[in-house]
Amino acid sequence: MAKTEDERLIKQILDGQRNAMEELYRRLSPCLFAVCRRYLSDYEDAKDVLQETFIKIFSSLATFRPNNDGTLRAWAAKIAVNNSLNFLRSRRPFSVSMEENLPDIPDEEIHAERLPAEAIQRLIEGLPAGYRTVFNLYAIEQLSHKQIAGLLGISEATSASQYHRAKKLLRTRITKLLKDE
Amino acid sequence: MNNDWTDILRERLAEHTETPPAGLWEEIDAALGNGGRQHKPLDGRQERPAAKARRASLRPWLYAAAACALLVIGLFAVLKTEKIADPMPYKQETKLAQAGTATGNTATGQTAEEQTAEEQTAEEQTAEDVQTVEDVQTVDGIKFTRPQAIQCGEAENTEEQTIEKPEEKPEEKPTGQAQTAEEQPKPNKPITSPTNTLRRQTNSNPRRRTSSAASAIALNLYAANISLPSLGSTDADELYFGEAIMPGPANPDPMQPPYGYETPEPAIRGKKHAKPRRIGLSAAYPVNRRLSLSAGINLTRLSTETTYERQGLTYRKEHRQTNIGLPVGATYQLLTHAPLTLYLTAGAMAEQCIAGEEKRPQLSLFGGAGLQLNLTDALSLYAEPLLTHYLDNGSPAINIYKDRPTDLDLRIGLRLNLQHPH
Repeated sequence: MAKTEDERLIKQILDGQRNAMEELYRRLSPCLFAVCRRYLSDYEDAKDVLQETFIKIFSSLATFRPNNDGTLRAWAAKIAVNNSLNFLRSRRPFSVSMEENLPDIPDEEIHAERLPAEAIQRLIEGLPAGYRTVFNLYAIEQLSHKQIAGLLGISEATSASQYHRAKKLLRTRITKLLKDE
Repeated sequence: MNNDWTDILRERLAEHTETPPAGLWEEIDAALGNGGRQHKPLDGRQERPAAKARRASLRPWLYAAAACALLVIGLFAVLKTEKIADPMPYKQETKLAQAGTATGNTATGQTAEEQTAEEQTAEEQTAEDVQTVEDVQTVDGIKFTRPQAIQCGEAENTEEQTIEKPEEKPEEKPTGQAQTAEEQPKPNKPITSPTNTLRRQTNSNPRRRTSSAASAIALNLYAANISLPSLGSTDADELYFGEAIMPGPANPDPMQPPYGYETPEPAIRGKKHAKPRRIGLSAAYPVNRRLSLSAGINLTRLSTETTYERQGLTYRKEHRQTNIGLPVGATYQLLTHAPLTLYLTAGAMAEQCIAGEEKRPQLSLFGGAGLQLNLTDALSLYAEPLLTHYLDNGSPAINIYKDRPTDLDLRIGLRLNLQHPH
């Protein structure tokens, strides 16, 4: 969405126009639902979090500052990530995942560019919860292990270890997927 | 940038979308109050977070409304008690007189013959006794009899004296009564016994009840600041992840370590404290009719959100702490009026952190006033605005006690009187 279009929609929503709210939902919900699904493997959980995300967006839209928060979509995506993590945290304490005996595959043999986005999404969704959360935060949201450790209540070493295990498992699955094609 | 194949994944996912669930907009619209429909949970197991959040935002208002309703009920009870306190015995006995004869035979189930026998007995009463009864009738302007104490010439007796001799009167009836043992009315039948009527009314006198309750051991279950929102925030639970995970701009130099590495601990730019939320249990032992001593145990949750900056980005972090506390105190009853009791309370408390950064014990002093609404002889509701001062324990932990050593708390609770005087 162009920035001026963001501003127009925000103004209309703040003026109380219900159609503008629905328009914003139609525009943002597909990408935000993808974000939620990336963190929450359960469809109904992702649906709940998406709903809460939009309620939060509409209720705090007046605080959105394009100069500080970037685009409306980026701002909304951050809220979706926050809500997904809150949801995970409210369900159970963060648990690390352990999968051993994975083959060591060099990075050069991974041809991720051949994978469609849909397949990547499913591969990440298929990771164990601990791997998935840390991988999303580190590789996709680009947080540091220190930040992740603070968020999830784990040590930096655990975050790094979970990320490397997640990466190793993904590497294996990507290789297998590409071979099967 | 991680400079490996994960960068490709991130780029591919940047524009990836998924079809949102059908009908979700309608549910969001309803939850926002635009659709006018009830927001329903997806299934029976769990309520939707949005509905929960909406209900949570209403909670302080519900508490406030409940407190106002309680106050109104209390005031109404005060005014009503003032009006009806004295006429009650006469009013009830008027009903007795209207229901049957002077001794209420109809209500006891006696036959017509028995009633005739009693009428004869009444005629055999002395002229003095009859004159006493008639005086009372004249005063009230209604045909009814006063309690037996009047018939026996004890009109000047106090209420307590009447209560102490509840069962003597039937035996003192004139010997001319033609009743056999089987024909005698049941002595304790409540509706026919004016003495019992008096006793019942005396027991239900709120003034007596309150002072009696003050002499009983009381068990208090209370909560403090549970309904109050965080200072400067409306939802403390959201503070933890508020903005801390918001990613900043891409690292300008890929050779540099990612954010957070090899940088000194950031300086705290601001703090946002939530009110201490406390639940507890205490027991109060009466020293005399006004003074009681109490001791108890409680659990306190503290939450402080700190804001700090690093590399031009603002981060937030929440510091949570759970304390177990042992309060001791004294309560002095100032005033009792109908169902309300006003009192002063003061004491001290020692707390120890059981979950959180704080390592040292925390001592505090508190004092304030309390208002108690006596619901029954055994159960009361109370509210206590308390001024609390937390002594400096010298620890580096981040919590509200350090920044606001003196604070006002609102404690609301239930009081159970374990010993009843009757």
